[in-house]
Amino acid sequence: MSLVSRSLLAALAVVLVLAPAAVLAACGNDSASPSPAASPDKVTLQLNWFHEAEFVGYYVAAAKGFYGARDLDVTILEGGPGEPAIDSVLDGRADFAISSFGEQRNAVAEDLPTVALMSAFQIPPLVIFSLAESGIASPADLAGKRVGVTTDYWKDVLDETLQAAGVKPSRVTAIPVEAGDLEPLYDGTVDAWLGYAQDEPIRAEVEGHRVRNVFPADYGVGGYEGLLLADRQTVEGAPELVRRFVQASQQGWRYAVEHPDEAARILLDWAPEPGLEFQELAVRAVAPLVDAPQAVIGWIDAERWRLLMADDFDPANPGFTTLFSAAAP
Amino acid sequence: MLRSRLPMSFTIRNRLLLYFVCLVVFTAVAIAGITVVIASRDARERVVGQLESVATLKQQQVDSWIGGLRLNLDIVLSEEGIEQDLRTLTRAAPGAAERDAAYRRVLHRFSWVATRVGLFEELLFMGPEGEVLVSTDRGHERQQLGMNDYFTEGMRGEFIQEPSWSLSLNKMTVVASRPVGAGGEALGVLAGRANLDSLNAVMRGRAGLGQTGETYLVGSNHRLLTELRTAGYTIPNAYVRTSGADAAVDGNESGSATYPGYAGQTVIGVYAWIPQLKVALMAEQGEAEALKATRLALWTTGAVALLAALLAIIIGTTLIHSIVRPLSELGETAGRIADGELDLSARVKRDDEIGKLAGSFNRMTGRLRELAASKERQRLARDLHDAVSQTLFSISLMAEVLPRVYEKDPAAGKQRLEELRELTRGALAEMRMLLLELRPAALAETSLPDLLRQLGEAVVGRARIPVDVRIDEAVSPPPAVAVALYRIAQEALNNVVKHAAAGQATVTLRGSTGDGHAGVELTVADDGCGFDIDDVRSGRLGLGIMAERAESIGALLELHSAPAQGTVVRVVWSP
Repeated sequence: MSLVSRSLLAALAVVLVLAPAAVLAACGNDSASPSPAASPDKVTLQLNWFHEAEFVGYYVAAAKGFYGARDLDVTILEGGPGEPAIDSVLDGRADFAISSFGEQRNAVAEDLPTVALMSAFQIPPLVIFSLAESGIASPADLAGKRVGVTTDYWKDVLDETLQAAGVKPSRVTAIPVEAGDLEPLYDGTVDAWLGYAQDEPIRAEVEGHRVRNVFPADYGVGGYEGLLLADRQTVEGAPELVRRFVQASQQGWRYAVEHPDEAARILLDWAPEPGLEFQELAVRAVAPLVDAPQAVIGWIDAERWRLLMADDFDPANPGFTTLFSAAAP
Repeated sequence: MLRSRLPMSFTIRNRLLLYFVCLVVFTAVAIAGITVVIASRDARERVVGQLESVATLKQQQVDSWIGGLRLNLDIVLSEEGIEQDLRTLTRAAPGAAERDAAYRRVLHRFSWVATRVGLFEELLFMGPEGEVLVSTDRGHERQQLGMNDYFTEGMRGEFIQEPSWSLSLNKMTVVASRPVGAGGEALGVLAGRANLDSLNAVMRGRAGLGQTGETYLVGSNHRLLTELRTAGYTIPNAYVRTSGADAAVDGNESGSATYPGYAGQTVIGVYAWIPQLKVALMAEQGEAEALKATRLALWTTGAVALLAALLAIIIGTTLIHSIVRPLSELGETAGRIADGELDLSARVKRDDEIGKLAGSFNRMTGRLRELAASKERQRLARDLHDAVSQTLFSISLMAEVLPRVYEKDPAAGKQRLEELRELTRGALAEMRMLLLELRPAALAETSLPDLLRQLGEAVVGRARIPVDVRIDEAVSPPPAVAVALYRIAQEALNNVVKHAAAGQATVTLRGSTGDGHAGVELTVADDGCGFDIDDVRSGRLGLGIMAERAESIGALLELHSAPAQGTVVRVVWSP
């Protein structure tokens, strides 16, 4: 074989080996992704609670490689009570954090430089739930009943809901209860309970009780929930990184919603304690709150945001942006 | 020998077979192929057409359902005074008697329409801020629904909210809404919440699409809205991501395609985007089932074509065999006749062209046999006349004079008597030879030395030329070789008698033991006039015949002669 044809063959071999990689790289993501040869960008996400179904979209994005495909190496940090996740982006410990709408509203009111990038929940996952046989189907049905509340926050949610539904809060007896134990509900000490759709009602169901949810959201209580925040410095300094993270996260949420059982198994790796049945029900409870008729997944509607911010709304510093959403125009 | 050297394809049998098979197979393949292509396409088109008509039917039902929602909202407002009551609800202070009366009348009207028509599960009226002022579901009063599109859009005009999951009702619902109040400023929004049970029933209604055919609705977020036949797809957690649903939902297109269905099996699907409801209507049927009948028909066609081809090949082979076999038998018979078996005749078993050919062939050989026999008789008659009768005449003359010669001179008488004896033996030998010619089979039965001795005696008797026959008695070649050698010796001696004017001839037969084989060497020599070999063409003097005979047994024929030098013919045969 001549030298020329030998080198031609070698060149062909190189092309054959490299071509699929090049094609993959080209198809992987649009202009946003740099060459796969570079080491992925390390990013930290600080959650605002223990690992649970509320964050399932992020676990799925990590497990299904949506972050990796956008050249991101994401570390997800668990949160807990008493330590606002929002602080971690302000002091630079994390690039992104999850927060409640209330926290972000306060932060904006205090002129803190946090920007909401997406809202996982279109409908807040707050519920007033009762045993199905109690027949409580609306806040009006709570009149004269005892309702278990764990914290002042939930007492506020209860009162706000009652007021919106035209029921005097004084007609309902709020009974302080312990967060971990639903026994008072089962034994009739209380008629209803306030909690998160993906948590307490699921626990009751797993423990063999059929429950019925009343959503305060139907009465205008609560707004966006599960906000993804970043420091303004990050948003302005590394917009491409933010875009990649937001879009990969939204893809994770979309996948979780459409594949609840697979998402539950992924969630189980992070939060094995409650068991698979619990996590499957939890993800199924979260899904319709995330993929709701109001908007595409993760979207923040400017008008709705303005209404929710009410007096704290400042057009110069709205405290959110949808620029990085996949659905952004 | 010659025939077997031909390439296979040159025989009539193979050529016919090839043409036949080509013809049949090509036809079968062409018919089967064209049928498959046309039938597959037609079947797919037919299935798509069927799905399209089903989809159209279902879409009309959906449209009329939507029309019913709108119409019923209008009916609610058609009552005299209802609009005034609704205005009162939005303006009057809670608790006012005027408001309570209006509330009761409105609720009554709502309940009447809802129960009478049965289309709406809930009829509600929202004030200008989206708060529910009246609802047939009392638990929903005071709800704040201002965030919903059916309120914001309903303030502006008629609106149908796409099917969505209602958390409080735990089911898929569709909300139709419209503004209340004339003259630009809307008082609020009248809304009717319908559940998807009736749409579900419409979609689930059988439409003659077999076991796997079904129609269902997919929402704008790909969520499955109506139930599927396949278990395991629960609303609201099931989503449909197929290329058909993608085209309809993401592309707002309508069309048809074959693609992997939601459960992974290949389906033929028709999809239509229904903009009023923002849903995709999917009509699908499993490809396997949809094309089952056609595929069966195609397989059958293929099998029949194959069978026909096989049958044609079998029949063709038989037919060709029935034509070619008698032909080759005839050829064989002709060959054997050419080899001397003149008594053979071809078998005639048929009444067709080949039968006629065989009949003609038999008539021809019969005629030739008669001709040959009559020529042979003529030759015998001539030989008898030429040889035996002359010899016998000489014998009778000699016998007549013998007594008198014997009386005069007993010594001369004795010599005449000896001559008489020789003549008689010659005549006898000639008679035997003629008998041999009359019965050729006897040639093979007589040993070569005897045959050669008879030849010698016959020549002596006929031509009075002394023939010295020297025989090696041990020589015993195979019958075919013996006959050929005899014929060569006969021909050579004929030449001696006719042309050589020889005084003496010698016939020698001996074994040629060269190479260790039991070969034979025959020599016929004379001292006659000889001839110039270059002047004599091979056809003359029977030389050609001798050469052919030698060649037929694979023997070597040598001829030595020159004018006035005599002639030697030598044949050497080795096995």
